[in-house]
Amino acid sequence: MSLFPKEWSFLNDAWKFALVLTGREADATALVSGALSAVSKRADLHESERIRRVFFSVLCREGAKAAVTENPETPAEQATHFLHQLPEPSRQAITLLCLGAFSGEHLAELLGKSEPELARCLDEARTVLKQHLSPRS
Amino acid sequence: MNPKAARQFLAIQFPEPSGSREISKARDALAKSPDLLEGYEAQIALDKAAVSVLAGVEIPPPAAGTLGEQAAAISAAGSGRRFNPRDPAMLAVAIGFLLLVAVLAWHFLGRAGVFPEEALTIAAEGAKLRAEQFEVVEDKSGALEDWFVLKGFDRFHVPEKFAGYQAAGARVFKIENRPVAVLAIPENYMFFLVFDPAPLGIKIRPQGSWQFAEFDYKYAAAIREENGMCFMVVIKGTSKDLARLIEKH
Repeated sequence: MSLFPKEWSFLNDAWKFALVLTGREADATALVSGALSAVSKRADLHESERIRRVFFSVLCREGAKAAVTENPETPAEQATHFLHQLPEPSRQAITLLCLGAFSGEHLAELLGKSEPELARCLDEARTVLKQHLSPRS
Repeated sequence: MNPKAARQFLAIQFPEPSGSREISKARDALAKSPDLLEGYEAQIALDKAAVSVLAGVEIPPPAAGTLGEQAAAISAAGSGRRFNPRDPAMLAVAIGFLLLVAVLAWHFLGRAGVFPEEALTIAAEGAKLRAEQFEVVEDKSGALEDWFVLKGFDRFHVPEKFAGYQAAGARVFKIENRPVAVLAIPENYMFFLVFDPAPLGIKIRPQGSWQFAEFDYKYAAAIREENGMCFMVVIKGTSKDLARLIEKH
């Protein structure tokens, strides 16, 4: 059950995304908190969908600055470490796609890519993921 | 959609089936190319595994609590944001409101001081009446209320300062099926007309003031509203003549 107000229910996905970007739970919380602060200062944001999009844009921008970490500690860090190790922009693309946070079209827009470019990023990510995941076929 | 385009389209779709028509069409198109279909099925399996991993991650309760409080505080502060005057929606509402005020002001105040067109029609009809069309009366104009009641015209009223004029003739005629009482006053060759303005859509603003107009090149009319009835004086002459006559009283 979400602990967040209804209009902020996307923070669950946002935190998971931040965890993939930073590799650390504490850093993920700090990243999401920073994005909340950034969004709260924007007087031009009123519509909830736009707030969500800007919020994830801030996460993408700030999260891309985080260094890749080694030695994940908590179970959540360990579970997502294979995603954390992906290169950008494939990491952001595959994580947001698999969180179901945005449609493919909106994801391309968010990441500033055309749909064919996004498809290439995702295929690159999947190529790497194949080595880490052994999906049931 | 050809198989290659379908493959590219499906590469950026969430792995769970959405049931959308586009995805169904793309899957059908992909079915024509076994290689691409196989690649797509591998993609689905891989993406679903990643979805499953992410679904299993839980945000730690302390972090959720901290972020939840921060979000709630932003939401609470955001309620004030709705009144930001720079918000385009608020700006549109404000402009709409100002336009509404302007239209209402134009409607109610803009017509002030204007002699109503409908009243001018009544004045013209009254001025056309010939002497033989009146019934002879021999009373002062202020004493003819009962006479008009008998003729079916209620609420006949002449302002006090015009009540002393001797009337020579009186009658009721109809404009738009509404009765208009008219008196022929020998002094100054005047007509007094009394009618209910509401059914005719006539309003004299400001109430109690006189409005003047000239018509048919030789007549002048002055009208005022009093106690819900209009009283109109028509003379042969100009508005200035009529204004002088009214000021005299």
